[in-house]
Amino acid sequence: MLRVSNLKKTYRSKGKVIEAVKGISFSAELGEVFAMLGPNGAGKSTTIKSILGLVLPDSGSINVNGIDIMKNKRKALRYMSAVLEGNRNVHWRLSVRENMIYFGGMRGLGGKELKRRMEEVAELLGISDRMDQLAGKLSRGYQQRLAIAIALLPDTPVVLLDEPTLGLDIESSLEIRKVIKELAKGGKLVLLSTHDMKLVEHTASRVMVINKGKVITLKRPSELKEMFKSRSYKIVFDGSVSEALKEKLSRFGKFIEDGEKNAFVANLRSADEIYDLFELLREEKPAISSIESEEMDFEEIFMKIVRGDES
Amino acid sequence: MIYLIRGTFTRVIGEMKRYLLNLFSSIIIFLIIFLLIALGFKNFGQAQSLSFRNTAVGYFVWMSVMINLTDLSWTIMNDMQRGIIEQVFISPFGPLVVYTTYEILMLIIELPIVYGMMVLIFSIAGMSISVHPSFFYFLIIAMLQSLGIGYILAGVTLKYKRTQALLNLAQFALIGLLFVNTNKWVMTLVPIAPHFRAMSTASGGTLPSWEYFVVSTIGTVIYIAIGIFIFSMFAKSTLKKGELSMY
Repeated sequence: MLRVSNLKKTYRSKGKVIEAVKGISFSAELGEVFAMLGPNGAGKSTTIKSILGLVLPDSGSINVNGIDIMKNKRKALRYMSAVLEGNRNVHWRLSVRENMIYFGGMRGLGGKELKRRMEEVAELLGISDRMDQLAGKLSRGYQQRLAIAIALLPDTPVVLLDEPTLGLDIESSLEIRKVIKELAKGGKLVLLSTHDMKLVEHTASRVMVINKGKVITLKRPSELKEMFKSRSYKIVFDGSVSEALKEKLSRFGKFIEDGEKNAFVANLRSADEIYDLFELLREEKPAISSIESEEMDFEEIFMKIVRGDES
Repeated sequence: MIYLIRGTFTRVIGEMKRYLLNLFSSIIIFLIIFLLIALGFKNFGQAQSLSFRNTAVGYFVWMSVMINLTDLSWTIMNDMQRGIIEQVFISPFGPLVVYTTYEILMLIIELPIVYGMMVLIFSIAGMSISVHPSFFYFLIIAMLQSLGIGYILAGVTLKYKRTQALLNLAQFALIGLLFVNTNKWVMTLVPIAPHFRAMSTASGGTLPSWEYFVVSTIGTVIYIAIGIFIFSMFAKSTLKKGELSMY
């Protein structure tokens, strides 16, 4: 459905040259939630805006349903809708209903079709009872729901969401998480750009990590977790550990607080390191009470990937 | 297209409802300024003179085209601040069609208000109104021409963002243009001036000469074409630099 090939974009401003995107490629299909993760300035927003034609890339191609956005932008936009970052996307001085009529009209929707879609999306987003309230007077969470409702009005197969849970309370975030899952279940492709690891962990079918304009990895969340799970071990020592051993172990990880016991978490980058660690333990023979495989949360995995890329 | 018009109409009416006080304040300010001009003529000139009629018509033309001249830029600036400009740019209709629809609807709604104000201005000045029907033709094409210039200013606003001072300057430069007196054919290139002359004649109940029809119409087409070209050029440059929402 969506194919991005070798996308490149460089910004030039006052003699400064910033390579925002350095040849990003990926493809995503209907029915999946495709998440883009990356630190600030990684190139996520430039990628999303390029897909929408809001930024003109230097080179590369973007195809939506076989249509090249650079060659036929208007036609390609008929397959996409978006909610962009921040408390934007809605007209603050119009009511929820007026916003839907205005933005719906801008997408060529009207009459009975618009009325039906308005009812459907208002129901899905839980804003049916706020249709006559001014958008500016809604809470941040409800404004975001309205923004998503507006994006869903034209019922496009591709929905792009840039930081959809930014600044929202837990309840609103959970609601939006639910909606994203529903959309993918209904056959849409949801392209997500976010810092919300929980959102990615619970909704994404694939995760693409970007840093400094390049794709570092593209995997399923479960694969990423598995990848790191097998390389992180928690070793709990029985009794004290000599300073000499602590010094030798420090290259594999760090000691952590675990009640009164000495616990050490080893983060191993390769199979060789596993052998080296166990060889060291065999030589020093400290009393070990347990060795467990540690499961990292998604945030730690993300940090490791990005730091690994930077080092 | 009909749904775009319907949706845009909802926005225009919604904004008018919520900024009603601002609308009335603007009308009152315009009337007060004109009253002061009329008072000046009464005390220092001849209130019934031809120059006063010209001033009254000139003031009315300035007021009506001025709104169109800068409104598109103000709308774009507001949309950039609100963050809805991206939604306009991802509309399959494109920003030019979306904003033109908005401005044409504004024009249709403003026209009766503006005409009502002219009737008021003339009655304040104690002048008779026996407007020739061609007056409305010149008024509409004057407003369309100002929309063409509005595209140029809107393009500059897209690119350079904070153009409030330029917009204020453009409004006052327009007063100077009204009184440009040159060869009719050269006037094709002077915005609003031929329209103003034709409207002055038509406001006295006389049909302006055919040259004014030609000159005003060609001038309007030229400025709309230039406006669309410049707006599209600046829009492309803004997208290339990735600066659409950076207000």
